[in-house]
Amino acid sequence: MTDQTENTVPENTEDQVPEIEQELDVYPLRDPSEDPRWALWVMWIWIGISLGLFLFFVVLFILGIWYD
Amino acid sequence: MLLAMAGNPFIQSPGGAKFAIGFLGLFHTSVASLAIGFAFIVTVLQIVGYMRKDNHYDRLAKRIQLWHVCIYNIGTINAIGLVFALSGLYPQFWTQIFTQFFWTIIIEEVLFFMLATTITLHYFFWDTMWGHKKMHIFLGSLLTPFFFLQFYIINGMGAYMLTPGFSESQVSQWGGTASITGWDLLAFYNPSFLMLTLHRTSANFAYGAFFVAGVCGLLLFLSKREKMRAWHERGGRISFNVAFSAFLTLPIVGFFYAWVLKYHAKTAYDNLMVGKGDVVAGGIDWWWTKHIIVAMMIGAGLIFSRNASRKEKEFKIPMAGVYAMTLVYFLFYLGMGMQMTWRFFWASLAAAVFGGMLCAHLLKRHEGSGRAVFVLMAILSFFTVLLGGYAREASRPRFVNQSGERQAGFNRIAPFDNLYAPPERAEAGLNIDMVLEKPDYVDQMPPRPGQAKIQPETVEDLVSFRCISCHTLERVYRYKGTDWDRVVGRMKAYGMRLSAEEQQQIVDYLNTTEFEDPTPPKYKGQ
Repeated sequence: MTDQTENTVPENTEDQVPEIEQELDVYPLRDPSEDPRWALWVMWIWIGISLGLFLFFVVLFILGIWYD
Repeated sequence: MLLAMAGNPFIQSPGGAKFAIGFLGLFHTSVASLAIGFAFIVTVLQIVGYMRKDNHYDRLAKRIQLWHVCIYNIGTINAIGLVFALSGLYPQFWTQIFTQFFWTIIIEEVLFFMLATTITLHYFFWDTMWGHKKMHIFLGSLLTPFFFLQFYIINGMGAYMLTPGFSESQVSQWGGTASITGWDLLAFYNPSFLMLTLHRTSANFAYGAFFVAGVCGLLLFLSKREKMRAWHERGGRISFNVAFSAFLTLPIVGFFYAWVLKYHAKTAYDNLMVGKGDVVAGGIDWWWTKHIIVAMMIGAGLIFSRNASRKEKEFKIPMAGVYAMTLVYFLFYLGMGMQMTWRFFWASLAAAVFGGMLCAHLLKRHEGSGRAVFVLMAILSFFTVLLGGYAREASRPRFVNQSGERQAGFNRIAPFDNLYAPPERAEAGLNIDMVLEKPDYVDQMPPRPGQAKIQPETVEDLVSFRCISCHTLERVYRYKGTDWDRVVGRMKAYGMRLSAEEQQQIVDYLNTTEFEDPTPPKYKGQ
């Protein structure tokens, strides 16, 4: 490492604004079309499976009260 | 030898089997209880962030969800250790619990899979789904009902072990012969099931949110930047308010929980109230200790809320509600003082006053910041969860030897006395004071349409039907002892429904039959 590159490191790291602090200022909503389609598909499929299973189990427990 | 005891047929573990299970169980409780609180508060923070378009809340929610992914892994691995330990140290545990709860455990397993996957997807898709934020929040919100369902199942089993109620241990004709069903309605919906579920729900919301506030408090101590401190202070305060709101509902649920125990688990209730059995360990009554800590938390929470209501403009808990619920707490402790000793009441009152004074001091010392109070409440909340779990498990009547004494290392299979036996099963004089009377709802339970009644026609049928309601018939024909009267008496004390005549028939049959061929008695009634 040369002297020149060493000088590029700020001496006082407390002056650096942490990345997370910068993120706090904006609520980064964006246009839905910017979301990757594959991720959207995964989400839809998983929500579908989750809701289906959840309803199935709830129905099972309710029916179990009468048809046990 | 550490791992062997003379004459003891069980695997020995360092510190004793009870210690091993207690340690693993409490470790699991302290980690797994966080998960439910985390799921709830993540959704609350995400919704608040979305409504205000304020990323402070959303970023905190994301951070909590990362912890959630981590603790879910730790809790799962710990749970597997608990299952292994139970299988080795209490070999009869799963074979007995599966006869009534096999299908519920299978559903539980599917739910665990769904939860682990949903938590992971929710966290790792956080920054990918900013264009579909509502959908992302909805995915996270699914965690709470899933946790409820999972919780619902585990509480059915946990409550059953304290208040077996009137389970019938059924057999079915599936497969053309009598077999174990793996499900028992009356065992699952047992007397303390609802109250345990409600109590643990409020307690877990409180614990998870107090923990988040505590971590915000720690980060407040560590942060040097003003903006970060403001973020952690805000996160800590909203989490504290969610936690304390849940905490305030506990005495109402707790009162009815204690009421149910009084009538359905009298020995456990007495052990808690009077400080008997394993509730007292090392000379300390841990249930008292837990309540002293709870009293301290109500004092500290009251002062914190009063202080916050004067300063904060948003997310305040209405003070009228806080005062009202503090009064309920006071009455609860008054009632317990009347049941137990007044020393308990005065000690709790002193702890509440001390908690309030300490909170006022800490707020002043840290110039109005809640950081020290957040950390304090998180630590106290952790201890209440541990001690509450311990007291519930330790309050059950202990298994004893035939002369009525507890015997360390030798007490894992109960003899036939000093066990749960409701009055209507008391023909053999085994009535223990666990149940005062049969609750009304038992007769009001709906009939069982569609289930064919199988009638035992021979003594072999009787053995088959009655024994497999709790365990496989292998255990009958592999038993080499001759004390069948004692064994059947013990099974009856466990809760098997058997008339005196049937009992005699079974004992005679088992005494006179030799099972040389490892084939269990067959059902011959079809």
